[in-house]
Amino acid sequence: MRIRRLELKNFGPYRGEFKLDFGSKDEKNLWIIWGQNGSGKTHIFKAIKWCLYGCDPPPGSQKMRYGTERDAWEFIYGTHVGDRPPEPYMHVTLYLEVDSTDSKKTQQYIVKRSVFPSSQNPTNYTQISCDFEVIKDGRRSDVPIEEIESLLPIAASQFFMFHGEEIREMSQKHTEQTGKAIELIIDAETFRQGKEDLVSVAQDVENDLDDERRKSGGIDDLLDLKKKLQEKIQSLESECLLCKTEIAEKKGQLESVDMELAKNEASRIVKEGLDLWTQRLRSNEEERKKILGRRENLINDLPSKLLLLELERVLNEKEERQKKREAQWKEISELKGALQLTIGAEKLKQCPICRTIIADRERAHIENERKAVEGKITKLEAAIEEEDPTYYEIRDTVSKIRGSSLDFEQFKKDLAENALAHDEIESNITKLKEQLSDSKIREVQSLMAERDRLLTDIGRAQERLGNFIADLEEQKKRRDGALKMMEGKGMHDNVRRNLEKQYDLATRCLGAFEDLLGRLSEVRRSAIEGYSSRIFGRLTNKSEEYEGIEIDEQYNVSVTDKHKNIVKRTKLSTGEKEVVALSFILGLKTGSEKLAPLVLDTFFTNLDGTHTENIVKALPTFADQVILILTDSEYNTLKTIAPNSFFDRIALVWNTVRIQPEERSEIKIWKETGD
Amino acid sequence: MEGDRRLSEIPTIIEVSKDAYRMYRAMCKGESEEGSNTASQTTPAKEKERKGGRTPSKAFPGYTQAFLVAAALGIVKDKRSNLGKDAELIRGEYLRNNKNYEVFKQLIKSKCKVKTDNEVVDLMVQFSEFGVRELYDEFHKTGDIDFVRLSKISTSHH
Repeated sequence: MRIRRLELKNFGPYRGEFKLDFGSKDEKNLWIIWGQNGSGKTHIFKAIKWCLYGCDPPPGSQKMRYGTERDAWEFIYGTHVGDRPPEPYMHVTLYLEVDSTDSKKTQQYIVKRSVFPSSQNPTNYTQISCDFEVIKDGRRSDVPIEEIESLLPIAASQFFMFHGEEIREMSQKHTEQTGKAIELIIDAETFRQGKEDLVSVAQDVENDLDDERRKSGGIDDLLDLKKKLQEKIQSLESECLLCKTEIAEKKGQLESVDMELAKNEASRIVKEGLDLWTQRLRSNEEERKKILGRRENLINDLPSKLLLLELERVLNEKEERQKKREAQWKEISELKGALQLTIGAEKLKQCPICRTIIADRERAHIENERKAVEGKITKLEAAIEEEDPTYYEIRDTVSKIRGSSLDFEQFKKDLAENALAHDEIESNITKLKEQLSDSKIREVQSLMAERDRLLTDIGRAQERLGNFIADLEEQKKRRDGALKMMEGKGMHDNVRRNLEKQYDLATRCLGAFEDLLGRLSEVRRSAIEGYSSRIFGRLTNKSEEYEGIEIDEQYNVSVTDKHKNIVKRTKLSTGEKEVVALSFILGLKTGSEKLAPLVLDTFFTNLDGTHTENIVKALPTFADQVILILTDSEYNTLKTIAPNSFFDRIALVWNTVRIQPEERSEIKIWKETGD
Repeated sequence: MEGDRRLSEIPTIIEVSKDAYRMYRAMCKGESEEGSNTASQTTPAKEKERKGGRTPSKAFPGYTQAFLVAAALGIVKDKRSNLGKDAELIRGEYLRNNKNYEVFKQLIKSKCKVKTDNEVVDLMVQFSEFGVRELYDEFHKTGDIDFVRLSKISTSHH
C-alpha cells in the first residue's frame, strides 16, 4: 500500500483545503514534512490515521477500534488551540494504491472521512455526523472497515505509522496489545481465524453427530448385544459340533462293541441268561426278606393268640355271671311290679269291678302278700351278682384278637416256596456258569459293561446336545430380534458413521493446522528475528559488542551480545532502546511482507549522531514509501549528517507553518529537496 | 390318672432266673446256652444256618417277644415256677408299650384275682419260667421253634 495523495479540509489547525501529493518520481521514495513545534506537522500524520481509522489512539492505548462521532468530536476539540471555536466541518481524503498480489494490477483506493454538523452550532457529539466511505477501483465499498483492515489493520497501524513517542513507548515495555498487533502483522490472526473456522466446522460436525447419535440411539448397545449373541451362537454351535462328534465317536465304539458281542453271541446269550437268573436270585432274596419280616409280626401277635382261648373262657364265665345278674334284675323288677299292685290293692275299700266291699280278712291277706313280696325283693337284692367292670374290656380284647390273623402255616408255606424257588434259581445259575468259562464271562461282562457305559455316554451327550440346540435357537431368536431393531436405526447409523469420519477428519485437520501454525509462527518469528538482527546491526553504534536481537515466543525483544548472552534492557541507554525497538519494528515489517508506508514522526529526538546517521543511511531501504515528520532542529541535523544518497531519495519536502494571529496552520512545499 | 398310677406300678426292670435268662439269650441272639459268643461253640441253629439253612439262628427277634411267648405258654399250660429273679431281662417300658401286655393283664387279673401291675408282671415272670424251658428245649433240639405247632398249642392243650 502506498499513499498517493492526501487532501484535507478544516482538519485540526488547518483551515481551508490542502493537498499533499505523494506521487513517486523514479526511485525517490522519501517525503519529509518539517516544521516548528505546534506548526501542525503531526496533524498531517493524524489526518492520515483519522481518515483510515476515524481515531488516533495514543501510544499503548487499549482502544484499538474504529472511531465514532464521539471520537470525532473529541478530536475536533482536543486539537483546538485558542479561543476561536473549531470548525465543525472536517474532511480528509486519502488516495491509496495497492499492488495486487494475484493480478499484478494496481488497485486504487479512495478513502473519505467527513464530519459535519447536524445543527447550526453543535455543542456535543450528538449534534455532529460522520461520513466514511471507501471507493475501490471506482466503486464504493459496502464494507469500508473490512477494506481498510485488509489494507492495514488498525491494530498494526502503529508499526507502520508512528509517533516517535510510540517507539519510545515500545522501547520501554512490551504490552499485550503490542503482542496482538505483532501477531496480526504476521497474519497470525488469519491463521487463528482459520483455526477457529476449523474448530467451528468440527463443532458443527460434532453437533450433527450428536444429533445422529440420538436418532440412532442405542445402536451401539444393539451392536454390542449382537456381537455378544453372535459369539454365544458360535460357542453353542461349537458345543453342538463337539457333542455330535462325541455321539458319532461313541456310536462307532458301540458298533465295535456290538460286533464283538456278536462274535460271542452264544456266550452273550448264556451271559444274558445268567444275568436274568442272577436278577431272579436277587428278587428271591428280597422276597425272603419280606417273608421273614412277616415272621416277626406273627411272633409279636402270638402271645395274644395263645391267650385267646383262656381269655374266651374267662369271658364266657363273665358272660354267664352277667346273664345271671340280668335275670336277677328282671325278677326283682317283676317283683317290684307285683309289690306296687299289692300296695295299690291294699289301699282299696271295694272291688273296682264288682264294687264289692273288701273285708278285713281279705285286706289282711293282701297285706301278708305284700310283705312276702318285699321279703323276696330284699333277698334277691342281697344275692344279686356284683357288676364286673372288666367284662366289656375283655369282650373288646377278645374281639380284636379274633379279628387278627395268625397264619404261621401260610408263612411257613411261603418261606418253603421261596426256598424252593431259590434252590431252582441257584441250580440254573450253577448250570449256566458251567457252560461259560470264567474268562468268557469276564469278556462278555466287560463288553456288556462297555456297551452300557457307551449307551449312557451317548444318552448324556444327546441330552447335552438337545440343551445346546434349544439354547442355540433361543440365542438366534434374540439375535434376529436385535437385527430387526437395528434395521430401523441403520440409516441413522450410516449417517452417524459418515459424520464420525468427517469429525475425525476435521479433528485431524485441526491438529495438522495447529501444528502447521506453530511451525509457521516459529518460522516467521525466526525470520523476524533475523531481519531485526540485521537491521539492528546496521543501526547500532556498538556493532562490535552486540550480536543481534532475540525474540521469544511472546515477542519480547532482547539484545544479545557476542557471547549470545541476553543484555538486560536496563543496561541499554534510551537511544539504544529506541534503536532496538525500531530494528524490531522494521524487521517485523520486512518479515510480514506487508507493503505499507513507513511514517516516522519526530523519531530522532533522543538519538545521538551516530545512530541518527546510521538510521538515515538505511531509512530509504526500509520501505517503498517513507514519510518523515521532523522538527526543524531534526531537519537541520539531517541536512548536516545525511549523505547525498539520502537526499537523492527525497521526492518532496513540505514545511508546516503556524499563521498568527489567525491561529491556523498552513503547509507548503519546501524548496530544499535532494534535487 | 388311674391309668398312670397303674402303669407306674410296672417294675422298671423285669427280672428272671439266671437259667431262664441264659435260655432267652440263646434263643434271641443265637448264642450258646453257656452264654459264649465264640465261633467254636455253635448252637444247632447256628450250625444249620452255616450249612445253608434259610431260617435265621435267632428264634425270636427280641427278649420282649420271647418273654411274652414264654409267659403265654405257661398260662396256656397253667404251669408256673418261682425260681427267683437273678438276672435283668428287659426294661419295664418295653412291656408297658407292648400291645400284648393288656391282654395278659386282663386275663391274669380275671384268673388270679390280682390287682396291681406289679402283681401281674410277677405272675407273668412265674409263668414264663415254665414257658421258656419248653421253648428252649425245642430250640436246643431242633435249632428252631415250630411256631405253627406253637400257635395251635392252646387249642390242642385244652
